[in-house]
This record gives sequence, C-alpha cells and structure tokens, in this order.
Amino acid sequence: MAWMVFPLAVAAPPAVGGAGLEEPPNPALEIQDEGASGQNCSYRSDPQEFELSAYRARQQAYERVLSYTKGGRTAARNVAPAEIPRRNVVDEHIFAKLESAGVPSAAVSRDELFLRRVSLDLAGVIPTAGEIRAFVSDQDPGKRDRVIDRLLRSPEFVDKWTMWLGDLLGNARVNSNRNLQVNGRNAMHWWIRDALEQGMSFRDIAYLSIAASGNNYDKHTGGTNFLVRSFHPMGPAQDTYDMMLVRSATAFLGMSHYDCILCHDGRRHLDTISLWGSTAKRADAQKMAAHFARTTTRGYSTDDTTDYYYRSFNVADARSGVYSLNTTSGNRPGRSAIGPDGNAVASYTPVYRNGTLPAASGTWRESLHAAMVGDELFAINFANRLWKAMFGLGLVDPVDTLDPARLDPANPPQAPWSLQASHPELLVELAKLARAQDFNIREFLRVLAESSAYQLDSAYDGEWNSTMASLFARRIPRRIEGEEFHDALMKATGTTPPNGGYAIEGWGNERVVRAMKLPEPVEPRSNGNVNSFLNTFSRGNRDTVPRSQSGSILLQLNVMNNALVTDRIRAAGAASSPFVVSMTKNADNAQVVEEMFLTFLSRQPSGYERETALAMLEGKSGATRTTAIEDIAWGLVNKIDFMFSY
Amino acid sequence: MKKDRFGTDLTHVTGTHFWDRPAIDRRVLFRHLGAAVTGSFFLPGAATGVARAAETQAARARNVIFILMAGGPSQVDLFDLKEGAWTPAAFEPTGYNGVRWPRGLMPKIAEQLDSVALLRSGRAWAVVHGICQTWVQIGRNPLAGTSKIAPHIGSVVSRELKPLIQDATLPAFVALNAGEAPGQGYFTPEHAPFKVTPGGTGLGNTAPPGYLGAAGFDRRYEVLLKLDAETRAAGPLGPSGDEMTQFNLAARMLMFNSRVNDVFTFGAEERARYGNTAFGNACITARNLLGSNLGTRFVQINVGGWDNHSNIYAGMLNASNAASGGRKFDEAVGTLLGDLKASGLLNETLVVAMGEFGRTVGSLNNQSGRDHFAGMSVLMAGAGIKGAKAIGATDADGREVTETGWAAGRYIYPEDVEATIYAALGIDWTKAFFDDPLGRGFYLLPNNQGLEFKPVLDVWG
Repeated sequence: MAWMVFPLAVAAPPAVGGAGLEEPPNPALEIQDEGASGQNCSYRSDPQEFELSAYRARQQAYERVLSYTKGGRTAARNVAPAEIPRRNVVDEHIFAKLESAGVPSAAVSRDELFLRRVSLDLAGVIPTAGEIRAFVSDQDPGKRDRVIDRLLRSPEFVDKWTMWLGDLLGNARVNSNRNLQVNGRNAMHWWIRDALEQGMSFRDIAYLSIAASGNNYDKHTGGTNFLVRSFHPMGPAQDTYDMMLVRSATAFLGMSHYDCILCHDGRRHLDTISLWGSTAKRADAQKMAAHFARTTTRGYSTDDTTDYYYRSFNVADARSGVYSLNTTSGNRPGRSAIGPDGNAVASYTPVYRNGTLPAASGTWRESLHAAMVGDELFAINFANRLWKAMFGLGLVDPVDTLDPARLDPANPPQAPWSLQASHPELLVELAKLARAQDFNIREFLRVLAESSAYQLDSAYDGEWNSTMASLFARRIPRRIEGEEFHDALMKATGTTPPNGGYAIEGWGNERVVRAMKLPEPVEPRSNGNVNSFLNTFSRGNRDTVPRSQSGSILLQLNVMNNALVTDRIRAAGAASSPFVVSMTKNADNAQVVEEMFLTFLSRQPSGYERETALAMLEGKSGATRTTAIEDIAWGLVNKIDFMFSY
Repeated sequence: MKKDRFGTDLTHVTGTHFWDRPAIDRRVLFRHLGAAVTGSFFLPGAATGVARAAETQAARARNVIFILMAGGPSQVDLFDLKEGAWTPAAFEPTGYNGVRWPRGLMPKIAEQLDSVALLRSGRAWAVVHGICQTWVQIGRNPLAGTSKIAPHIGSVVSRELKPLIQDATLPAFVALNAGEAPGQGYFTPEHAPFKVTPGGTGLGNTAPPGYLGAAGFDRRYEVLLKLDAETRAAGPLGPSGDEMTQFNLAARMLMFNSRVNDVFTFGAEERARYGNTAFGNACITARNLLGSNLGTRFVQINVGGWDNHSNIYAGMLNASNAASGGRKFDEAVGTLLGDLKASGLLNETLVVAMGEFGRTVGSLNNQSGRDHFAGMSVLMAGAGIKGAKAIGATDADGREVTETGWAAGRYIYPEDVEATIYAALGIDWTKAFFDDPLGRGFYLLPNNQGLEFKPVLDVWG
C-alpha cells in the first residue's frame, strides 16, 4: 500500500500536517519536459514555461502556509477519554477502550462543525447560514438532541435513506442478473420511500423483500423486486435459489461468505478468512438455499407492450418442490451428495443454519424470514451497517463479512483467531438495543448520533496512523456523495437544476430537483452532463460497480470546470445565483466573507481565511469586487472541506 | 518472520519485485502527480505481490488497445469467416495466407492482416450481455465472490506498469466511450479507468467557461489555493484529504496543458479518415494517447451495435453500404492499425478486439439474423504478431471447434485472453496480491475448478 511506500503518512508528525512538506518542491529539479518542442500551444508560449509557473504557484501557496503555521497556529486539542461526557452505551464502550489503550480522544466537535456533519450524515443536506447562527447562539443544553430529532423527521431524511436502502437491496433497472425494467425499479423505489416515511421496521422491510408475494411492478409489493433480481441466468433453478440466499444473507445477515460456501466447503478456502467459514459445509449452505426451492418468479404473460405489467414478474410459492442434487452444469459446480448409507441423496429440504426446520404452516420463505429475524446476526448486521453509515468504518469491516463464530464476547474464539469486531461488547449491546427498538432505523440512528463518540472532532493532535481508526478516537472524515454535493451546491447558491429538474422515466411530469431523490445512481438519464458529473463521484451502478468515496482526477476536473458548477456561482447568466447577487449588493466586506463561509462551508472562516478573503475583496487580486465574490464562491465550492463530511 | 494478520507464516515466500522499494522521496512523489497518496487507510498492510511460481514472458509490448465489441459480433461473418449460401457476395471472401477474410466488408483491416492473428477456438462462459461483458473486462465471473473486489484488466495493467511509467500526467488506464466499464475494484483510485467520450475538441472539463478564459482561471485557482492552503496542509481531513488534494493538483496539470490538449484535439479531416464516428474518434484518441507518452498504457474502446438478432446483412454487416456499422468499424480499426504501423507504435502495442460471446452459425434465423452463441473469436494485432494467421479452427459451419490451435489444447476463454495481455506486457499472470480486503489473496487469474488459465503464446508462433 502506498501508505507504507510513501513515508510521509507514517513519519514523525510533520509541522505542516497532512501533506508532510518540510520544504517546497524545487522547480529546477522537478521539470521533466519530455520533448514537447514544436507542439502547438494553446495558452502559453511553451509548455515548459507553463509547468514552471504552475510549480511556482504551488510553491508560493505552500510557502504561505508555512509562514502561517510558523506564526503559531493553535493545534488540534486532544482530550483525555475520561473527560468526554458519556451519553449512552456507545460512549461507555468507546471511551472505556480508549482509556485502557491510553489513547487520547479528539475533543467534542464545536457546534458549527457538528451541525453540518449531522445534517449531511442524517439527511444529506447542509444547513443554512441562519440555521447555523441560531444553533450556535442557542443556549439550550439539549439543542444537539433537538436538531437530531428534527433531522430524523425531515423529508430529506427519507430521501437519503431511500438511496441507502436502494443501494443495500440493489434496486437497479439494468443489472447482471435480471433487469427490473423501469416499472420494477420505480415500484421498488416508491416502496422503499413509503417504508421509510412510515418508519417501517427493518424486520418488515426484510419480510417484504424475501417472503412476500405479488407482482414486482406494484408499489405495495415493490419489495419483490429483490427476489426478481436474484435470478441467476444461464444455469439451473438451483443457481437461482443459491443467488436468492446469497443476496438475502448478505443484506440481512451480513454473511456474504455464503456465496463461497455454495460452491464448495469452506475448508481449504476460507481457513484464514472466517472461522465459521473454515468449517462450513456446502450441504448446509444448500439447505439454507433450499428455503427458496419453492419460490417461483413467473413472467407476467402478455405480448401487449402497452400493458403496464409487460415484462413484470409474479413472485409466489409452489406447493411442492425440493432442492434437487442433480445438476451438472450452470454457474456452480455440479450438485450431488452421498448419504451416510452410501446412497445418493436426491435432494435437500430447508434447514436453517441453527438447525431450525420450516414451520408447519406458511411458506418456506416465511420460515426463513422468521429464522433470520431471530438470528443474532440479523440484529448485528443491522447495527453494524448503520454504524458504518454514520462512523465511516464498521465495527466489523467490510460489513458483509460477519463471522458468526467470532462475534460473541462471552464465547471468544481460540487463538490465533480473535473476536471480529473492534468493540465486540458494544456491537452485541447495540444489536440488543436494535432488537428492543424493533429495528427502527430512525431510533437506532438517534442513539448513534446522540453519542459523544459520533460528535468528536476530526482534528486530532499528534500522531495518527490508520490502525487507530478502529478506536474511533476522532471523527473519520468521509467524502460526500455526488448527490449531496449537487444538492449542497444548489442550496448554497440558491439555484435549481437545468430545465427545472430532471425527468425520470415513469414519473410522469414530476421533475427531480434534489439529486438525493433520484431512484438510482445511473440517473438522471435525461441529462447526460449532470449524469456524468455525478458519476465522477463514483456512485456505482448497484450492480458491477459499488458506490465508493474515493476521489479522482475526473471529479476534480468536473468540480472545477463543469458548467453545472461554473454557471451557478455567477452573479450573471442564465443560472445565476441569487445568493451571489445578494453578496455583490452588500458593501460590507466583513459581512460578505462571513456570510459566504457560513453559506457554503457552514462555518465561520478561520483567522487566516478571513484575512485572505478580505484581501481579495479589497481588490488585491486585481479583479473587480463582483468578480472577486464569484471567485470566492467558486473557491469555496472547490475547497477541500466542501467535499467532505468531517 | 513475516506473518500476516492471521498469523500465516509468509517466510516461505521469497523475494519482492524490484519496484517495491520502500523509499520513495518527495521529489518522486511530486513528479508523479497523477498518482495518489492513498487515502485507503482501511486496508490491512503488507502489499507485496508475490508469485506462486513466477511465470512471465519477456515483454513484447508496452501498450494495449482493448476494443470491446459490445453485443457479441458474429464470428462466422468476421473473424472466423464461413462461406455458405447465406454469405453476401459483397463480402468478397478472400484468402490471406490461408486465412479467409471478408474483404468486401472489412477492406481496410484486410490491408493490415500481416499484423493480425485470429483466435478461432474462443468460448464464452455464458451468453448474457451484461454478465459476459463484465466477464471479459474483469477476467472472472461477475457473480462470483471475488468479483466484488476484482479490478478491470486495465487497472491491473496500470498497477503493474506504474513503476515503469516516467511521465504520469495522464492515468495509465483510459476508457473511451466506455461509461459502463467496471472500475478498479479494490485497487487504489489512481488505477481507475479514466473515462472520456472524445469528440475531438479537447479533453472535457479541462477548459474553464468562456467568460473566464485562461488568465481568469489562473486568478481563480490562486484564490482556491490561498483559501484552501491552511485546510490542505494542516486540516482535519487526513489521508483522504491529502489524496483529494493530489487529485486536484493532477487535474490542474491537465488544464492548459498543450500536450494533453493535443491528444484530444483533432480536426474534421482526421475524423473523416477514421470514418466520422464516435468509434473512429476514440481510435484517433487511442493512437494519440499512446504516441504522446503521457503515461497511458491501456486504452479501452467500446463499440456497440453487434447484437444482430435481425437483418444482419442489411444492417450492421452490410458490405455494400459504406456507412454500415461493420464498414465503419473496419474504417476506424484499419486506419488505426495503419497509423500505428506508420509511427512504429504497432510493434509495441497489442490490439485486442473481441465481444462478449459469438453468434449462431450456419443459416440465419427467421429474422435474417443470428442469435447468441458461446463460440466466439478474438482478433489480436500488433506486438510483433506475424499474420495473417489463425489460431484454432472450427468445423465447416463454425459450430464445433476442430482444432484448439494452442498448447493448452482446449477452448480459449476470456481469462486466457487476459493472461495473453499480461504475458505480452511482461506481467506475471500467475501472480497474486495479498493486500485485498477479503484477506484471501487476490490472484490475477481466477482458480476455476482445475482449469489453469494461461496466455495463448501460439499467437507469436
């Protein structure tokens, strides 16, 4: 990994912090002009000169930083864990472990930073300048809890967590398994929205995904798209039963290793990855998959392409059927088994991983659901995934690799295995809490957000290395999602998307104005430029490409130059920003600087930033005042902390 | 004693590759602005890639152009020509070194057949578009466990060739007209495909808005640097923040960069030479990318329209219509091969053109088309290949493989094509990385029930 290769990240704490520079790069040594002679030049007299000046600009910027920090900037303040207020079970465990590890904690984040972060994390939005001022000046000691409550009940909360659930359940019109078509995708999207609006228990969301029957184009049975999508093409039915189990177990139990075990026993494959997996048997996994052996997904029969249900599927259960062990082709190795008597075993019927047999009444899928909900892992998976969403790192990470044999602190595994979670007792406590709350997403998130651990600052004094991340001694910053960036840009500038919003197939005249309301991350197909722009934020496609929070060159190019951004920070032009216009009309430079920082970055400028911005407004950069304001607006949107929730 | 975090003893594993030197100084860091200081600090340590039984070939090429013919091109009409009652006269089937080729449909590539090998014993694992397209790009079953983290073949090439790349202004892996291409999997973001849709008017989003101009952008960028200096240097964002800063600087380097601009700028004449299509434009860009030496080594180009279930000879493969998809494909690829040869780049570049599966053989279906079929063919050119040659052969209709044509004596699978690409570049195809998030080791080629995938070295005779 590069963090080992480049000594910067692990060397002694650099005076200048993250970039670890002790001297600015020497341009004379850097230039590697590799033969651009005679090329046509577009903007400069020759490339070498351009590169020199670019390096000079960076050199100057870093020199400025150096001079600034030499002036004695206040370092981040760490705090002894014992001094952080313990607000709930999260804090009990996090700070106890920090204390016993002798690792100081970051300080609790100040109000401005907390408000922005929790608004983004819970609802995908940034606060307004007015909200920030009101919050900061509010004397009520319970104000943070009140803001958490307000966000949990907001419509934007529904949008954000609909997107999250859509990712989890794989709501994608086009995918490698089986296309859901527009109507299926839309039905699932609206079903998820409704579920969140109503505060539906995750238990019921799971039921409606794996145990419900009906047509996948109907909103109230939109969850059936989960199984419709779980078809495994180019193989026998058993491949599909396996896929249904894999996707269910991954989403609801965090046990993606079933995908491995359904091809082969765990021994000699998972021996260093999962203790449970190392002894897991394919036969047992197949008996889990057998819960789906009577599940049918029949295509709705019509040739009428104008019929709404054209290409839809009806998910139902047959009265009979077993998981036959008679395949020799398809996507997984041949299925056969020899019983203890030496004879071939013809088939399996369902057995849950804890030995539970299907109930006498009801379908096998319903039995599977009941057993899953009763499974420890259901609650642990729920708690862990939501923890990851808020803290940036799961208590078990990656979140779909839960190992049942290594999660119980009362029954720790034998050496060399260790308990899987960074905080095993906490995870178990949170799982219990989630179950007591009946898997209420809002209430669980409330507990996480109200904890001091969640509210810690991301600034940390002194040496930090990546192994400390799982101690949660500080807030781990995350890059915001493309949807959040889009919406924050519009909100701060007071502008709207092109053409009054994005058309979505099947949504009639409704136009999507906030990107977080898009039904899936490959939309808006109706606006190619915005779609590409959002894709540079690695939204993934809920299929072959997962959502990711990494940066990229394309992301930076777009944030700097895409018309979506550059049109909206202007005082003039078709998409001009009312906010920027109001700034140009305000003659008070100090007010303008403060207002711009509060509006874009949701915080007051630092001393350095205030000084720098004021100088720009006073004409030191050679531009007119209006231009300077536009430059600052653009600068704030491109500023690195605009792009992170920290 | 080297142990991984599960205590597995790694001492039996010897050697590290010469490029895994731990000490790289800041000057080198700043030179490689396209590379990122990783922010992926969630991954466990020990990133040494070590070979099981190291197998490499001396590099025959330094670049790859990977053309994905999306939809499944008809092999019996193209790379494994079968002449029957169905064959249009306009195809003008002609023999080149004993290899039959539809000269009427693909005249320009015909002129370059001396650099072309046609792999005719190819086989797809399935005949479903989405899965198989992903399959050929990541070299493994997209629905298998490891595919969740599997990188694109181009990302592997980017990672392996990185130490050999001097000027990394542009990413090593560029994907043209390939918006849906899989990404870098668990690899760091610098190995992600740089996705561009080239139109000939420069690299998108590298020019500021018209009202601003170059001087205006410089002024504005200064504003950003000044305002951001404190946060970037001493802010709370940690490694992810540093990485983003590096991307910002690298992005800035792509702007007002005449060398980069030249790669993506070409005029009407040039576009016309390549057929005036999006695919043609991508071929021009690929040629420019490789010739510019700005760091790109693997270029993927997607070209669709091959899913000809109906009217195959009236539509896509209409040899008499110079504007048909097939003719346009030929115009672009033929011109590309010609230009690469003229500049000397063809010897250093492996060109691979393949779809995700083939099409049914013999007579057409009831819609005058061909349907999905697992048998397929692959075109390879450049990298010292002496053509025209065919690897493997099928029966009279094209239904069964009669000669596999290579040492392994079996079908050529997408994974074998992947191995061939690695071998051509001098990359060890048996290698594994031990820095994957699943902790199981990530082998470049998957283990598939006893099948050992390997390069089709017979391509080079």
